[in-house]
Amino acid sequence: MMPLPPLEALPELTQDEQLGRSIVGSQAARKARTKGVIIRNVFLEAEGAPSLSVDRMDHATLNKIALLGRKRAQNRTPPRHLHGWAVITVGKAASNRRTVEATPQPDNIYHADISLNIVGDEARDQQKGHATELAARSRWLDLP
Amino acid sequence: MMEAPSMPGNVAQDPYAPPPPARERPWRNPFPVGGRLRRTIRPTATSAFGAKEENPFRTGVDPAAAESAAFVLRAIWIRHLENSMPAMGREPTQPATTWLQSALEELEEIDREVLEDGLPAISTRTKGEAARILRELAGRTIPPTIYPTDDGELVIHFQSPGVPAAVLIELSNDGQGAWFSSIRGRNRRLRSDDSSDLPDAVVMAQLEALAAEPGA
Repeated sequence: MMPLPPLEALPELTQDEQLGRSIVGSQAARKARTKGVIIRNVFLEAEGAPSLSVDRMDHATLNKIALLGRKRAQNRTPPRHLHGWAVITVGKAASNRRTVEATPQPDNIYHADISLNIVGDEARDQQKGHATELAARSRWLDLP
Repeated sequence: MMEAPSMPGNVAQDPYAPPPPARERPWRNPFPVGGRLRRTIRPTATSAFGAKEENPFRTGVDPAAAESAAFVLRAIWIRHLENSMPAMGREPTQPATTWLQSALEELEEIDREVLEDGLPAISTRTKGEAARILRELAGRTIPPTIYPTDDGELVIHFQSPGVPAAVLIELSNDGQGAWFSSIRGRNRRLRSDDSSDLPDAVVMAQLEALAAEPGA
């Protein structure tokens, strides 16, 4: 395993910085490859989840980010496979009341969260609305 | 010298006059009822009889209704002519309608995708609703992609590759339907207890706006 840089080593988030959302569903990867469309499932977490995990793509090689993503996918229940990423800029991810925060973790210094900041009723539909927009504004990035 | 035969309401015609050139010959109206009504009955009714006097020539046929019926018949006739014309001059392919077949094929794949990603099954009724909506929208907007969700719904996702805008129609196994749109950073949504309400006028407007996006 390649050593990770210390937690404080990464710079502040910028508007143009690229965030990658791992794609672990085979149908999502197939639709992205064949139709050029990121499906909504990619950005839709379980009901009530306040935020979405992403990786800061501009601060490591794609191989390093892929290594972390594969490990994370394997640790899911049931285990999944990493197929690629849906990439979106911080500026687009942080619009419509959403916020982006760098949230480095001991095993992933590149980790960040897109917080949905949902208030009011119909929370699930609000989640779906955010997921629709994030999917529409992101682009497919294949594995190296 | 014989007098030229005359037709009511028309000027006398010379039977020996050459026919007008083909291009100038007017298209024969197969349902001239409305035209005759406009030329004869209405002027008579307004000129020869007062507003409150009974018109003895009116025999229970409402001129407005007759005109309306003639209009409908004329429309049917024109549609018949259009349908019976050969396909010459038309576009060889019509992309707006051809996506229906591939969309229905994608819909048939949904059970395999459900198994592949371990998602909740989609009911036959939900798939039937999706097929109905696809048939209704075919030729009216951009091609969709279709997929199941983690919540056991079926999504019809309209988006052109590279265009950062999308409209989604979501169908649930409990009969609910919803749509979500994200166009130019503005998000809208509407949920209905009954998916047969879809596609409604608002989502149609969203789909039109989506199709008008640059690059779509």
